[in-house]
Order: sequence, then structure tokens, then C-alpha cells
Amino acid sequence: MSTLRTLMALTGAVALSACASALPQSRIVETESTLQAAEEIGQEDPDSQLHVKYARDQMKVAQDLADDGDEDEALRMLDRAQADAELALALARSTNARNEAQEAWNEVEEIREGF
Amino acid sequence: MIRKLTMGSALTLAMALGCAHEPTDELTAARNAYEQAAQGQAGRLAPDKVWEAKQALTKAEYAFKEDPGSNVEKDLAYVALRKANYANALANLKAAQAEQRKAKESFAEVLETQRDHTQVALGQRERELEKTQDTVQSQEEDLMEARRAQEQLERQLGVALGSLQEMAKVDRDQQNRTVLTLDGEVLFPFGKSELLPTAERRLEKVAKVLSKFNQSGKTIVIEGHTDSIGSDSYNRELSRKRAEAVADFLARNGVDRQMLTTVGRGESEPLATNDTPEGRANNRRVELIIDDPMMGGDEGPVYQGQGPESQQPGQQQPGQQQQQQQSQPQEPSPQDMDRP
Repeated sequence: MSTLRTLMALTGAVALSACASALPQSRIVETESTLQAAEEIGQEDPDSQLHVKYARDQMKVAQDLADDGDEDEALRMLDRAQADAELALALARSTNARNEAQEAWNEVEEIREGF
Repeated sequence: MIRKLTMGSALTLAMALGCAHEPTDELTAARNAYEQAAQGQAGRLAPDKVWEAKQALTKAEYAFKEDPGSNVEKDLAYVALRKANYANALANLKAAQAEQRKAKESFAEVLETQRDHTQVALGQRERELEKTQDTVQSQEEDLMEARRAQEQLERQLGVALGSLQEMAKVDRDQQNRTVLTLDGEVLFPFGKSELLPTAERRLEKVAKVLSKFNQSGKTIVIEGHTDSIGSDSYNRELSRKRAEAVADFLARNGVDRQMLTTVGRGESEPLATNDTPEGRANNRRVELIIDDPMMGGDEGPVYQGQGPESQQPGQQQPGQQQQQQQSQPQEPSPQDMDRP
């Protein structure tokens, strides 16, 4: 299911970039892929979700700027989107790792108490 | 320190060149985020990402110098801010992963400790079990030894009782107790409770045998019996005195007095009819009932009597005993009565 979603999103991203000559396709695909990963593992993390939203909004603005022919601003907006996407994924991974560490300590406590 | 100086230099340069302009909110936020990341755990755990944030901030500072307040400055500062945040997030991720590893190590250590304790406890239980098994085995051996000793004693007593069959009948009653029946006429003169001299010689043999029971834990009830001639009270008193006379004689001849109890039954328990001289002769008697409270009616001694009179106890039922005694040929007795 997630693979299908990723494929559809990437296809959409490619279709979007096909209209705009200014935005490099590879970076759009890369950013979208990062966002997909962040959405999948960051469902319980509001901070991560917020930055996913920032990234998507800025990708749209970047596309609009590219469509208007403002190539430099479009690329800078894509930089912003990419930075938010990477941050969203890192936040999600960090939160998950923290939860898993807590669970691991809980297990340690459980076997200590059970002994 | 170097990083601080570099940042300080950049700020001074920015202020000198752009003194007329304030940095944008984005640039201010980026500077603060970078400082926080560089001085926090990100500087230690994610130095490469902190360096990337610094590079991005330098670009933003340059834009601030070239074109203060521009979208370029804002966009570059925004990216620098996110990269500093990213460095912090990555440092948090690595710290959490380190915590996970630490927790797993602790988990393994606790398991190891528990396994050690369990093995120690198991070893202790095994040693206790071995000790218990040794004790049980030792007790079983003691019990076997005690049984062998008991059986040996019973065999010896059986042989001894068998030797008495010349002068007394040896039977078993319904409770499987050994009963020695002594003929009253050979023990006492007519109507008396003093032993005849000839009776004393016989009883010496009995005493010698019974004295072997002294330490065996057995009890001996000596019962006096009469025929039905005379009053109940007279016969009961006479039978009691005769039982006591036998008990006293046995006690004087080595039998433990503690083992002996006496009862006068009078005419209440006849073995045969009182309508004939023979029957009355059978009813006049003294019975020595040997009981073993610890044996609870188990197999008693095996009597090893000799001669035609010898008889195996247990082969005779109580009903048969009476019949057999009645059928025995009786010499006519001059003392057919216990009463004068």
C-alpha cells in the first residue's frame, strides 16, 4: 500500500516537474520520497507532521514560481522544502527511537521486578 | 571556542557592513539555532550536520551583507535554521539509539544475573534433594534393620512358645493374639488360689519363656476362668485371685510385672458346656493373652512345637477350638467342682 502511494506521489511529482523546466526533477523526486518516509513513520509525531506540511506548501510555491519563470526563487523555495522534509524525517525517527528506548527500559524494569 | 570566534567575527562583519539594517527574523532564528546546536549535544553527536548548518548560515550572513532584508537572505536563513534543527534532531536520534543499546545491555545483564541466581538456587535444591534422598535411604535401611530384628525376635519367641506346648495349649484368638491356656486343675488345689508345688515347676518354665518378652513392648493379660458351679461373685473373686497368683509367681521368676495385668472372668466365658464333668474341667483354666500393640494383629510368632501335641496357630478357628477341646478325651476328675 505504502509502495503504491509512493509510486503515485512520485508520478505526480514527475508530472508536476514536467511542466516546469526550472525545477530539477531529481530533487523533486528525492524530496517527495523523504516526505513519504516521514509521513509513514511520523504519524504519531505532530512536529514531524508540521514540517511535512511546510515542505509540501513550499514545494507548491516553488512550482508556482517556476511556472512564473522565476527560476532562482523557485530553486530557493525548493531548498526550503527539502530542508523541511529532511527535518520532518529526522524528527520522526528521533521520536520513534526515543519511544523504543523507553520501551526497552520498561522491559528491563519488568524483568527486574519479576525476578 | 574557534566556532564561537568565527561566529562572533561573522556577526561583527555583518554589523559593520549592514549597520543600517537589522537582520531578518529568519536570520536571527538561524543564528540562535546554530549556537544552540553547536554548544549542545549535536556538536558532539552530529558534528558534520552542525558543520553543514554553519555553511548554510554563512551563506545567509553573506546574503544579509549583500542585500539585507531580501528574500535571498530570508530563504538562506530559513534553510540554515532547518539544518541546525536537523542537527539537533539527528543528535537526539543518536542519543535515543545509544539509550536503546544501553537498555538492551542492561536487559542482557539482568538476564545473566537471573540465570546465575537460578543456577545457584537450582544447585542448592539439587544438593538438598541429594541430602534428603540420603536421609530417606538411611531411614529405610534403619527400618529394614528394625524389621529384621523384630522378625528375629518373633522367631525366637515362636520357638520359646512352642516349647510350652507340653504344659499349655497355644492358640490364637479372634484378635490374632497368642493365647496360652493353662489347665486350672494342675495349677491350684480345689477351691484355692495358692499354686500347687507341681504347678510352680511348670510355671517356672512359662516364666522363663515369658521373660524373653520383657523388652519387646508386648503386654500379657492373665485371665482366670471357672466353671458355673457356685455363685457368680464367688467364681469371679476366685478366678481373680488365681490370675493374680499366677502373675505374682511369674513376676517373682523374672517376668516384668509392668507387662502383666490380671482379670477375673469367673464363669462368664466358658469354653465348653458346664453340664458335663469334662466340659467343666475345660472351663476351669487360666489364660495368658500375649498382645503386641505395635504389631496391630500382624503375623505373630511361628510356634515350633514338637511331638504330636504341637500345633500351628492360625490353622484353628475360634469355633474349632471349642469343638476340639470338647472332643479331647478327658480323664474323670476327682475335683469336678471349684466349690467345696
